[in-house]
Amino acid sequence: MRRGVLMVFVFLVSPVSLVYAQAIPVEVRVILASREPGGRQDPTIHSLVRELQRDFAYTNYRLLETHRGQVSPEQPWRTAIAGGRQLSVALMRAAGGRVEVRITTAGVNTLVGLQRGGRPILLGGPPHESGVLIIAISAH
Amino acid sequence: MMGHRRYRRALDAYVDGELSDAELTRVQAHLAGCGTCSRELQHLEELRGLLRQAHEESAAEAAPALWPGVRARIARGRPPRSFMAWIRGIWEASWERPRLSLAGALVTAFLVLSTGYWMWEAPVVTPPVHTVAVEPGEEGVDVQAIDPEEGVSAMVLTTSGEGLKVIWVVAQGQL
Repeated sequence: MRRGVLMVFVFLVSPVSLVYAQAIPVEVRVILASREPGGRQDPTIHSLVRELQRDFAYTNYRLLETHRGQVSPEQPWRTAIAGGRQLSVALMRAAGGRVEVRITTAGVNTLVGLQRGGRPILLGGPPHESGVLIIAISAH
Repeated sequence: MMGHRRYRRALDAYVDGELSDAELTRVQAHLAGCGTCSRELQHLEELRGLLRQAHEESAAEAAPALWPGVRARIARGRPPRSFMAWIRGIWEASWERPRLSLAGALVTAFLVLSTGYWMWEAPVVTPPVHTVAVEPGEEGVDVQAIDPEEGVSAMVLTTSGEGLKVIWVVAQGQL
């Protein structure tokens, strides 16, 4: 019993526990925007598509992929997305409900601040098939 | 059938070669049988010959006197035309060639109208959504830095509805 309490105490105060405590779940949704005739629309991106349709001339938005991972100060998260592209998310800072992440993909390295559980940052423009990719990255 | 008096009047036109073929035939037929008109015709032709000779002699006498002045004017060159004379020349020429003038007016109108239309409808390069200055927000997303690779351009856009931030990348080659 004492040993168990001690292990819990050691875990809580160790750097490993701090790392796990700061591990931030991130979600990446890869959307193909094109001018092809519209097909069935994924309900999970309905609100996002409605927003994009206000300003972009694309007529069809199709969710290609969804990736989920965790980022921490020591451990960036990498994944392969459509077209064999690499996407990397590194946690730079986490304070309160906000995180600061460095995103590297499609020829761009950018530093953005995100609200956990808030709006995603969108990264668009890479050509793919008959349209372009719009990558939505959000923190949870 | 022409009367004798009318044939006398037609002789002037006959001498000047102004009669039609039918009139010429009739006058010649009359002259063949009318001595009075034949003499009148001979008198008229002699008179015309004298007048022509007098005119040529006077011109020949005048030419040596006029020629040095003409030569001097050629040597000096053409006198410069005033702007108003130039405009007047164009104006007169336009009346002499109405089709050419109309075509020129149409071409000028087309150029003026097309230039005006082009200036009015000149494409203005605007991004599809608003380019924004980045401002950090409690609920929103703030883009703090963008570092595109060589040959890649990136801009930050904000959608007009919920204000989503979009980093739009463009590259000359494959991304």
